[in-house]
Amino acid sequence: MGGTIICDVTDPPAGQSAAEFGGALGARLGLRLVLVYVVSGVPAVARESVTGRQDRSGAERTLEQIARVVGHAVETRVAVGDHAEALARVAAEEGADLVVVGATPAGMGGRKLRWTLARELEAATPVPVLLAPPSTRKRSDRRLAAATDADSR
Amino acid sequence: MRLFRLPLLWRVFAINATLLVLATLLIVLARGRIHASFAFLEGVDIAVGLAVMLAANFLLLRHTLRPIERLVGRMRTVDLLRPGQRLVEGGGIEVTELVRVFNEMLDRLETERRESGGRAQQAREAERSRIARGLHDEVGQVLTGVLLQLEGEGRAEETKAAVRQALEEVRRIGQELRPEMLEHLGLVSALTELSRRFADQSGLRIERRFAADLPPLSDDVELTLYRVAQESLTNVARHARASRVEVVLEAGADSVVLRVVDDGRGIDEWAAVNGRRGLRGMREQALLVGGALAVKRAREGGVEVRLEVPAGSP
Repeated sequence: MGGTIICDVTDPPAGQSAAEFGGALGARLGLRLVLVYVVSGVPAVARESVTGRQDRSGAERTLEQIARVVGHAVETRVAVGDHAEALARVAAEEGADLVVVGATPAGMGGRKLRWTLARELEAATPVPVLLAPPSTRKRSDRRLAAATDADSR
Repeated sequence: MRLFRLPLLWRVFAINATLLVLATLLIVLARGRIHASFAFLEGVDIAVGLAVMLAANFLLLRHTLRPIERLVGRMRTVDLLRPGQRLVEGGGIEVTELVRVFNEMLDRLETERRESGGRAQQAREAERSRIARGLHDEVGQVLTGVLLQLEGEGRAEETKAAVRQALEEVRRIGQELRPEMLEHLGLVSALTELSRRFADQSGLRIERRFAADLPPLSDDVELTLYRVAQESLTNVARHARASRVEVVLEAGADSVVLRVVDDGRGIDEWAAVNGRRGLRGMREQALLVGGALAVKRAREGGVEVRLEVPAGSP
């Protein structure tokens, strides 16, 4: 088995969930995992500005932290531009088979999910998009444990 | 007029809102003429009614016009080197039709781009082969003849050395134009020879890791892998200021992955995305064989070029 999963980790809580979910799925299925942080709102002319560099180094730090949490060999990338467009571009460049994005709880008691990015990605890339449930949702411990065991072997 | 600079949604809403407010005012004035007193609660009723009408009007307009804004956004950003970008059909009948026609137009453009790119690539390779044959069969033969004559006549050593160098140069250009080793001995041998020559010329340390059990590849795909490796190594020599380069060829999921990784000064994201002709050329070549090309920062700080191409029988 092989293939590539792209995980968006730009928005901290939703990104963390996406990374954990993608990591578990990747380990279970033997897929390559690429964590992506998108720096938005930096125009091309300001890419070497102090703010641009700070944004970039902040993104790299976040990626390192999340990569450590995910725990197995992952690749990381910082992309610049519109959130959905940049993710779609990375997905195309990496030959991704799946894009995992996080969802934010919304509505009464967090029973609904906000998934605007997934909807935008639907138009920006032909790669399937998977919505990772927020970390507040109960997940199958058995499946995540199986993934972790498979990874440690 | 500032109004005309606003997005379509706000322009239409502003006009509708003005008409609704004017109509409401007329009702209030007419009512005031008939009845001298105007009850406070009646005013509240009219204000609430107006607010509801404005809100409903705005929501309906947004539902209808949002797909047009998305369509304009996609038209601005669509990139034929990244196929598959489409819009989700939605909104009113006319807007849905517009989006559907736009998606169909993208289908046609992508097909045309793929076919014309393929034809251009074939023509380029044929031309390279013709020039390489010409260099080998004509210029090379002439230079060899001159060298033999000079040997016989016992001319100056410098002249002989210059002719030998010219002959060597002709052979090198011929090899770059048409990778004969790729045709005769296959991809791994060709990449080994390419990296060996690159190490000799650039003085950089090069590490090769080629998997032994690669799936079969078509001729076009092999040529694309070779050309991308060639261009990547040329870029390393020109721009990277690296001391070490790693060339890796490994099996992926029904695919083969080529990675060229250097330890040089790296590349920023903007340059990697909007790269000049070399990078665009590599992307086009990858696209023609259904591959995916990423140019990105390597983990150790240099640049990694990663090309994944589909495996398939030649």
